[in-house]
Amino acid sequence: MTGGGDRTGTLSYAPVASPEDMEQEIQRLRELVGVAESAIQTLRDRCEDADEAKAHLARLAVASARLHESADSAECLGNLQDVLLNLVGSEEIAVWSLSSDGRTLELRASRGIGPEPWQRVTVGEGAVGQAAESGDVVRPSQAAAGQPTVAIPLRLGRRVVGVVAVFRLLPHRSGLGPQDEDVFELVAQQAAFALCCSGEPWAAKGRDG
Amino acid sequence: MTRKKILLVDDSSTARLLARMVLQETSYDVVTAQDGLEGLEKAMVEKPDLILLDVMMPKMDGIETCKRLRDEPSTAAIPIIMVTTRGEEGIAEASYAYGCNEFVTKPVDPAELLAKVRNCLGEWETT
Repeated sequence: MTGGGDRTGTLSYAPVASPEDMEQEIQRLRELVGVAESAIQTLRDRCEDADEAKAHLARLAVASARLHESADSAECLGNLQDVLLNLVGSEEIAVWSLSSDGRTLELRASRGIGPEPWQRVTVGEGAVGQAAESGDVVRPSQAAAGQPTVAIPLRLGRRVVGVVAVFRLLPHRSGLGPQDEDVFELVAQQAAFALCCSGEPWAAKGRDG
Repeated sequence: MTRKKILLVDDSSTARLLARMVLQETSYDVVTAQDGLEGLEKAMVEKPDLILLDVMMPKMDGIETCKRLRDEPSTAAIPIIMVTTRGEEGIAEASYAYGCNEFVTKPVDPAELLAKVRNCLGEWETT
C-alpha cells in the first residue's frame, strides 16, 4: 500500500520511482544475486576439494594401517595385495624379494598372473628389475600385454629389499592418477618395514637404490 | 537425531576399514560382516537402514546374499548397494535383477559411495 489518509482527510501518495530508477534497482539486485551465486559456487568447490582431500587421506591411512596390521609374513603379503586391489584397483599383483647376492628378485607371492615367467627377475631388466635397481617407482609408458603397469620398489630407507608390481588394472579403470601415486609411494616406504617386522629376513638382503 | 545404521558385508579388511572410516565420519553407525552368511544373520539381528554388499565373497557371494535378503520378509525392504571389482554389465544386471538398489565398483570412490548411500537413504540435500 503506497498511500493513506492525512489529518485533513485528503489522500496522499509516496512518490513512485521512475521506470528508469526501477530498472537500475533491478539491475543492481541482479548483480548482487550473481555475486552471491558465485560465492556459493566457490564454497561448494572448496567443500568438494576438502572432501576429496579427506577421502584421499582416509585411503592412505587405511593403506598404512593394513600394511602394519599383522606380524605374520603370509598375512602381511596378503594385506599388501589386498591394499592394491581395493585402493588402486587391480587383481593382478606380484611381490618379489631381493636375493642374497642382490642380483635377482625372487617371487614371494602373486595373484591373478601366471607365476612361472616371474619366478626370477634379473635386477635391472624390465620394469620390475629397474625398480629394484633405481629404487624408484617405474611406470612403463606403454605396458605390453602381460607386463606390469607399475613396479614399486620396497625400500628400507634407501635400501631396496624387494619389488611389488601391479599388472593389468580392473577393466573399468582407465589409468592411474595422482592419488594412486601417493599410494605407491606409501607402499614403497612402508611395506618393506612391515614385511621385515613380520619375521621376513628381507632387510639383510637389501641393496642401495 | 538417530544415527542410521549401515551393514557392510565384505571379505576384504581393507574395503571394510575404508568404508567404515568414510561412513562413521559422516555420522552413520557401521556394523560389519565378512561373508554372505554372516551378513544374512547380522541383517536380521541388526535391522540396518542400508546394506553395502560385496559381490565376490567366500561361503556365499553377494548376489545370492542379495536374493536371500529380498526373500526374507524382515530384510526385504532394506536398500542394498552392491560393491564389486567387476564393472561389467552382466554382473550389474544380475545384481539389479535380484533387487539391489545401487552399484559401486572397486576401488571405491568415497565421494561416490557417500552420494549413493545418501540417495538410497533419501537424504539428498536440496540445492
